[in-house]
Formats: sequence, structure tokens, C-alpha cells
Amino acid sequence: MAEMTDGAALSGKPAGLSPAATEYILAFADDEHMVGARHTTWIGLGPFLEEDLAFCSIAQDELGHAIALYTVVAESEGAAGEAGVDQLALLRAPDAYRSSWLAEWPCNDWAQAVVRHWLYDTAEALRWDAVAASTVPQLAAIVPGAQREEQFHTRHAAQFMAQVCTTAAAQIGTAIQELLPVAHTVWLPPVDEAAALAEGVATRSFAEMEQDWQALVEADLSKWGLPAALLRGQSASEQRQTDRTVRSPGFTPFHQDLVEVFSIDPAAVW
Amino acid sequence: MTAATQTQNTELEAVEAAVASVCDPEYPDVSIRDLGLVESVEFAKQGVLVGLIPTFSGCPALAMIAADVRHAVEALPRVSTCEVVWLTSPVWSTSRITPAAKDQLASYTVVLRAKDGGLRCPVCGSNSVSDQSEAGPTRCRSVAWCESCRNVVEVMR
Repeated sequence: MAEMTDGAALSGKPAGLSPAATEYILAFADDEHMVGARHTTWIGLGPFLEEDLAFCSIAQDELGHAIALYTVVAESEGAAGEAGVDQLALLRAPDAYRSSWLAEWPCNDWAQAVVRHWLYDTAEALRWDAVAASTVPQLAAIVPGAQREEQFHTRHAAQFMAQVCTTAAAQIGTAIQELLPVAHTVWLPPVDEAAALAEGVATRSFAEMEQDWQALVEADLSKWGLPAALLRGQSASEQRQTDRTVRSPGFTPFHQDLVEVFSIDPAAVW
Repeated sequence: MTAATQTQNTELEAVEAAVASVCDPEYPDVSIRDLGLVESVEFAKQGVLVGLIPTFSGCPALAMIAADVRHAVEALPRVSTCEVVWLTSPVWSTSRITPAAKDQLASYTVVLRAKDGGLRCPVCGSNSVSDQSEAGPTRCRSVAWCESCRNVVEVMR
């Protein structure tokens, strides 16, 4: 039986991860952390109660996934428990994070937040499937629980998008255009992806999954009466993420916000 | 059965009872055992080891539940320490909830889905309950609506 937290003392230390496996898992963990943290900004501000609650719930799941993924890395480095997770989640320098701009993007407009939820979770479900048979046993162990939760996210996104696309198609169309420069960044591969794939950390490449994702989101758009081509345009934006070592504009103050309370007393027990 | 085995069994039963005395912070009279969170209770070298499984990985009540279990078990006279481990396997599902807990949840207007996917209103008993939102007020609940008595019904998922 694999353990998520609090169990290293009795279970013994898991074997170390290769640098490529660490990069692969951190890219996923950081995406989950950032998108979860961004979703939480809608708590108390969601346009109506159900969606306020939904974003709160989904954010908690994503942060839960991030903790589970960070735990795999932390325990492999001999840093078990909350302190090890905090170190990875909060205390790295911005350029040591490996998140995509899609996950980091503020999405301060509600339509953008909903579109990002749909795009991100469609990608996330594919990413869990790709590590279900991972040769990293601690990673494979957390997949069934995450998949169970992820099905609620993708269902929620589809249900809500289907509704708003009938009543606010223009707004959703605009939000998709606005997110186009960052939409595909979720498919920027982890650093040294080839080595991770060679050792079986995952069974599918990001390039393969991106093709499936493109087909899925385009099928959704057609089903909801929006042009599938909306997601095919090339971004004219000058600022683009080229790889996962590059942080989005505005990341540093966002990161400072995330660690502000923690930094007051890093040793505090909450 | 030897006297020593008998004592051990009695002690294990006492530990299991202590674990079962812990309730979910969200439902203060529903035992975590009846909700299906308890997977294993055993004596390890260092003390008692309790294996729990989370309903949802991001549930904010996990730390509180683990602390409550530790306190309850360590309050037993013959136990020195208790460690709580959150297991990733098996994965929790509503099928782990006991019939007794199911009835208790109904008093909170929280229901479980029938095997055919149907929902029954815990307030008026009507079967005209429709799903409203996949995400409810906590991780483990979605929101439905009774067309008959017009109450909100929450569904454990």
C-alpha cells in the first residue's frame, strides 16, 4: 500500500528519482498547484453561489493533487511530510518552478476562468492517464484517486460550458481568443521529457497528448455551437512561454502572495 | 486460544473502538469507520499504526481527522504512540459507507445515489430529484434539487 503523507517513518524511504523523473513530476505538481491557487481567487467572488462553491471544491482537489505529487518528489529526496512539501510548493525561486502559463495565468475575467478550467482539466485527465502505468510506483499509486476526482472536474467543465455557450457564446469566444497565447503551454514538455519516457515515468509524450486534447476541445466547441477553428489560430502575442523554466509576467508578485503568510513564521504549526 | 492472544485481541478491539469513536468534522455524529475511511488498524513496532483512506485527496479535514484519531488512540492506557497514515489505495467510494451511516447522512439532507443512478429526496421521499451542479459545498458532495418539495439535496459522490 502506498502512502501519501505522514508515513515515511514506518514505511522506509522510497528509492530516489532520476533527475528526468523529478522534472516530469514537478511539471505536473506545479501546474496543479498554480491552477488550484488561481481557482481559489474566485472564492467569495464567483458570480453565483454554485460556481463559487464549484471553483472552491475544484481548487481543493487540484491542491490535493499537487500535495500528492510534491510528496512523491519530497520523499524521494528524503524530505518527508509537510516540511518537504512546503519546501517544493512554496520556497523555490520562481525560475525553479516548472508550471505552464495556462496554469499560472490570472484569468481575472470570469469567462476566462471558466475557459481555462475546461482547457486545463481536459489536459489534466489525459496526463493522469499517461502516468497510470508509470514505472515510478509512488506516482502510479496516486493515479486512481486522482482520476476519480478528475472525472468530476471534466464533467463540471463540460456541463457549465454547454450552458454558457448557449447564453454567452460571444463572451466565451472572446475569452478563448484571449487565452489562445497560453492555451497550448500546458503541452510544453517537461525538461528532459525523452529521458523520462525512456525510463517509463509516463507512457505517452506531451506531443501525442496534445493531439488528443486538440481533437477533444474542438469536438466540444462544435457540440456547443462554436467554431472549432477558434482554438487553431496562432498567437500574435510577443510574450510567449517557450519552455517550462520561464515564468509568466506577474508570476513573482503572485508567488509572493502565496508565501506571504507562510514566511511570517515558517516553523508554525497550523 | 492462549491467554496472551486473548489479551492482544482485546487490546486491538479497544484500539479499533477508539478509532471508530472519531467522527467526521463535517458530520459530528457519524463515525469515520462508518464512512469507510478506516482501512487498517495494527500494532507495529513503534506503536499503533492506523491506515486511513481519504474521501478526496484535497479534503481540508484530513489533518483534523488524523489528529483526532491519534489523540483517541493515545488516550488508551496501554498505547504509547499512534501513527496515522493516509493510504492512496484502495480508493474511497460511497460503496464503503455503511447503511447506518447512510441513514444518519439523510438527516443532514445528504443522500447516496442508488445503483441505477437515481436519487430519492431525504425530506419528502420523492424520486423527482435532479442534478444541479457537479460541485457542492464540500469536496465529497454534489448538489441536486427536489422538484417535489423544492429542497436542495446534497449527494455524496
